[in-house]
Amino acid sequence: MKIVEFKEVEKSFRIKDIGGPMQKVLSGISFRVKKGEILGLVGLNGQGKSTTIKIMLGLLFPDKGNVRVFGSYTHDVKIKRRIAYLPENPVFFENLNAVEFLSFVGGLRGVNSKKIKDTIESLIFRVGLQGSEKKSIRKYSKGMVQRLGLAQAFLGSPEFVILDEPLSGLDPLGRKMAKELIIEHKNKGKTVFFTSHILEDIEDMCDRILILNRGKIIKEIERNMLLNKRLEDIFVEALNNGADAVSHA
Amino acid sequence: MVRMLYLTLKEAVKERAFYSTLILYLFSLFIYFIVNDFTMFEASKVMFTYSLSVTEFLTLVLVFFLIFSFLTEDLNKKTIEYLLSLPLKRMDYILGRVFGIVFSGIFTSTLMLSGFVILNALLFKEFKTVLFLQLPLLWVMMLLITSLAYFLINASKRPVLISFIILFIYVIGVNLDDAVQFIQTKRAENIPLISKFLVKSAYYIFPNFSFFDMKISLSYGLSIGSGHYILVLLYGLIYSFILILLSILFFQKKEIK
Repeated sequence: MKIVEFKEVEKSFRIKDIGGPMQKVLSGISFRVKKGEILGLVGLNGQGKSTTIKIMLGLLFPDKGNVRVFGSYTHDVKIKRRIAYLPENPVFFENLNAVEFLSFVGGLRGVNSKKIKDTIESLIFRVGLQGSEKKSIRKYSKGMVQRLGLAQAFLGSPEFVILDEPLSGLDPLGRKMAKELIIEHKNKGKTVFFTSHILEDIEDMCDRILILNRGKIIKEIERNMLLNKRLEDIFVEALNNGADAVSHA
Repeated sequence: MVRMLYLTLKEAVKERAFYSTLILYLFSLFIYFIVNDFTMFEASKVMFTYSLSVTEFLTLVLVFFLIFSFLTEDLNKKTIEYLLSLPLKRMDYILGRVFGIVFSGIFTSTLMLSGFVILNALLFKEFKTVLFLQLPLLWVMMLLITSLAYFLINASKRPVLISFIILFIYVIGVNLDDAVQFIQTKRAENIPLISKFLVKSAYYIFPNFSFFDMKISLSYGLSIGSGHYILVLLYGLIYSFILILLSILFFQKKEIK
């Protein structure tokens, strides 16, 4: 069963706000995210990873092509209730504390109001924020905000979790915790889509990897392909081939 | 929408601007006694006007700060991106923010004016409840300003620019009546026709905030007429409703970059 389907999706942005030339960010990408898998999207900076996620979330609209999440459009609230998202470098509501913030998110996701207190308590413990849960988020360090971001992403055990650079800003213990959370979520039969610059993290966790370069998916890698070759080598090779292809064109 | 409104209220009461406004209010209570000491005639009426003016000024300052603060959080720090990824309709975002800010203003203005009315009653032995009639006018004015700000987020993602524009429109709106009256006098005969046309156009396009100012009439016990009062409230509500409706319509199509 497919959770997400991108078909020939194109997206361009104006370089300057008004009247500037258009720059193509996605050039007809197609892929599927299958139920129960961890799919990683890798690519250099500015290659369209965040744009792909924003289109998936319905924050941006494709110029051409089709995007379906759970077979529908993402702006449907019923669909959004099944999705969780952790943005890159997240900033949450700084006047609230962690419990207030997670209660707000849990309420929206339809977490059982009787269980919400216990669920939040256990998640706060799980991400290592115990003792800081009543502190204003404004006073959190970058790593603590990232931990809180992970807590909200897994709150209510959503069917599909989208993580944009989930391990950024975390210390080694935090990274271990985050990886465990992601794997556990997959083991529950849930689906995870994430982007990272750190190839080792992608290599450790993903069932399938897509390499995005210059707005195109230039390579799809299955986990068994990583038995004989490191992801880094495949990545560099794919980029070189992709660059060659572009320069020949 | 209720959850978004609750979030906005919760954030608003923890804003520094909220506490700063309350501190300024306490300071204005201190100034109240100084002004009262210096007033030689009709002290009670002067103090009634002072009460209404301070309440209006501080509430509007709070509303401007809250609008700026939420716009900065949502647009500059990109919490809007996260909010819209949650199971919320885009319409809920607009309505939750607008009414969250307005309810914060309603709470603050009621608290402040109640304090003044009690103080007036203690000092002048006159429990002037008619002053509370200014509150619904102030609330509708806040709704109009906030709706305007959330209408403008469809056009710009710069909180400073949006705040500047609403401040500009507010200043024009407050002075519209005076400007129109002036161009109809003999002293305005030499003013070019184009300027007169611009003033008249502005009168019909911009929200006319001068309608909402009934402070003097209420303080001095002059008749304002219930029909006129209701019409002014309806004017503000309809204007706000149109702005909110347009905001929601445009926001459905807005890309969150």
